[in-house]
Amino acid sequence: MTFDDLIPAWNSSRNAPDPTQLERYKAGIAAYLGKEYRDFLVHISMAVGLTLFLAGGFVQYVRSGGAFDASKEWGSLVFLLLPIAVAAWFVRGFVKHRQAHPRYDLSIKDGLRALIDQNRLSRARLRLSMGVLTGAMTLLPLITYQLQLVGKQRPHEAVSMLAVFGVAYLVSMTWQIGKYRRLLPEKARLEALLASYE
Amino acid sequence: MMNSTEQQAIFDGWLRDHAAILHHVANGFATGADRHDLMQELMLALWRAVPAFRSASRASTFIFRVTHNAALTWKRAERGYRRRLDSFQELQPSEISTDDASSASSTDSLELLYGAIRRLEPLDRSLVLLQLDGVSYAQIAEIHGLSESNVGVRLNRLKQKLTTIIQEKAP
Repeated sequence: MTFDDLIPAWNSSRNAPDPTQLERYKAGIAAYLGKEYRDFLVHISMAVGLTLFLAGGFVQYVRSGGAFDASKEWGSLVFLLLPIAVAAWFVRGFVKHRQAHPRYDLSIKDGLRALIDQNRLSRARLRLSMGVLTGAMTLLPLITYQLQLVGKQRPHEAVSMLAVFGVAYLVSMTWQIGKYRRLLPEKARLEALLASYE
Repeated sequence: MMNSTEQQAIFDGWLRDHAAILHHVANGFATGADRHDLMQELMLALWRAVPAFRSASRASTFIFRVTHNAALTWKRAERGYRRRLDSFQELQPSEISTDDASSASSTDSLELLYGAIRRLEPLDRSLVLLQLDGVSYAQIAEIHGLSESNVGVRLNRLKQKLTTIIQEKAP
């Protein structure tokens, strides 16, 4: 038996999709897309809400005459500005990636090259995020020190703040390291796939 | 900017006319429960690709490229995989049913062919599936970003390789 002998089986009606099952797949896709859309809205609302709450709250505090001396409390300002700087860097990376692969959809090979670059960009984003997070954590003792100097924080509040941020740091770092490690085999797989085109 | 009604209409039309492409790719790249996961992945990829479709190009070529690309880069993510399997629990696996002797023989041949294809490297699988679906060398070259002569050489070699695998597996 050869490959050509099996071609009639390929062209037979047995090799056609089951319409009933196809409808079930479609229903599954609709449910999946609906959930994905709701999850997207929740994540965006949380990110925007938290940013507005922190930055907006700070601005409102200063505008309503709250005491703030930038020369003595600059640590808090840096802490607030760090996420904005990181977000700006993310956007810059995304724009550069899109410019480098304007026609990633021309062929599967072009798409693979774009995916490999996207994988590199994702890893660079995670490295930056972990670095900035670690930088922010090292800044935290200075912030609590400054806040205590100007009388805005008591020692036991500083301890609570350090504990909460410390736990958040550990959780976030664990998650990001896990994500970074999952990207490495993916990079190897995509590169091997691209190499098979040569 | 395409609205979701237009996107849905195009997607439904493509599924109506070209569902076989997805069926072949899913069977050529996965077996058993994984096939459901891949089939859903292919449909999601197609849905998301609808706005990028330029009507100047042929829909079938576009669908081949999107689905084969999705299959080549598909990886089973355990959590997503479990979740999707749960949502498809009620589905019967679409193993081809065997009602009578002639169709049973056809089914065996199909299983033999799919089994042989799945033993190939991912890119080779894709090339063979495209050829079986009647796609010309020029179109395959365009879809994959290869030269036409390279496609021809590869497919000739793959036919021989598949025959060897089939002869090993055939009862």
